[in-house]
Amino acid sequence: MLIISCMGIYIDLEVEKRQVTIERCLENPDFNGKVIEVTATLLNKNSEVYRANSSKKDFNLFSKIDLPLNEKIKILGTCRGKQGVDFIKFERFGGLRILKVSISLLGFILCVYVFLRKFQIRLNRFSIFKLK
Amino acid sequence: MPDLFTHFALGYYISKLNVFAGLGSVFVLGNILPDLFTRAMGILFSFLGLSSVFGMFFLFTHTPFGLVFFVYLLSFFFEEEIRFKVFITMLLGSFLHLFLDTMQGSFYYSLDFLFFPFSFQTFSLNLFYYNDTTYIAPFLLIFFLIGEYREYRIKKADNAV
Repeated sequence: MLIISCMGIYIDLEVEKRQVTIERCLENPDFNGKVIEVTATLLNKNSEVYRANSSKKDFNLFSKIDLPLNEKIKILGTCRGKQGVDFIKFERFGGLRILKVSISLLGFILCVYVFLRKFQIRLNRFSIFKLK
Repeated sequence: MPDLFTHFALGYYISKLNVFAGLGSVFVLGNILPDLFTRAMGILFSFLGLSSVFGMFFLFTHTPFGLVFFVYLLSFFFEEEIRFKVFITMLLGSFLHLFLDTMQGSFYYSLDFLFFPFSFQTFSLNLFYYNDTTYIAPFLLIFFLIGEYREYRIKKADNAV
């Protein structure tokens, strides 16, 4: 159960990591003091361009991108510097996080089930697993 | 990395091949093993403030080189008669895990150090993104249930004889 809990928290951390990644995009020396653009393509909607000032660490950018985020919308975007270099791709899902945790849990539980169908556990020996 | 269910399901289908000679479940376990330990250890290390140590652990469980040692250690938990077969089967399963990870695109940079320790060059096929596997999960589940039903029918027929 500890491992299962850890898996759930880890998936949350994955989303955190993406936010950190976008921050790194703003903090990158190549973009220092420049206005960068983030092109976000929403599912079933047109592309939208957001601008942020990297020297000011314009975090409004994130709130703008987060606005349309709900359980059904996915943002897939590219962060570009003035040189037009593709720097980062990101995508965010809103409420799918719980679904993803559940799917991962299902995978873990089924794997344990398939494994224990063939093996028995002997806790009194170092070679714990014995074929049934 | 795709979710654990995708890893499990792919391993499960392949484990049905006859080549595994009764050790298909070890192949399936090998398939989710790298993520299982990496995730659990990732949380543990982040709570302890040892993120750099976690990086080393990631190299231990998510590179072909590291996995050889990792799976070798784990194989000692199995009976001596089947230990070598378990080692090979579990290693193949975990290599399949790496292969699936390699197919996935990354947001910032890929973490698939396939050639570690000879090179830190990463490699990614960028065929899908992290959340894309959620869409195919229901289909994978249906195939799993069909497979289980078939096995149940075969077992029932054997018992009847």
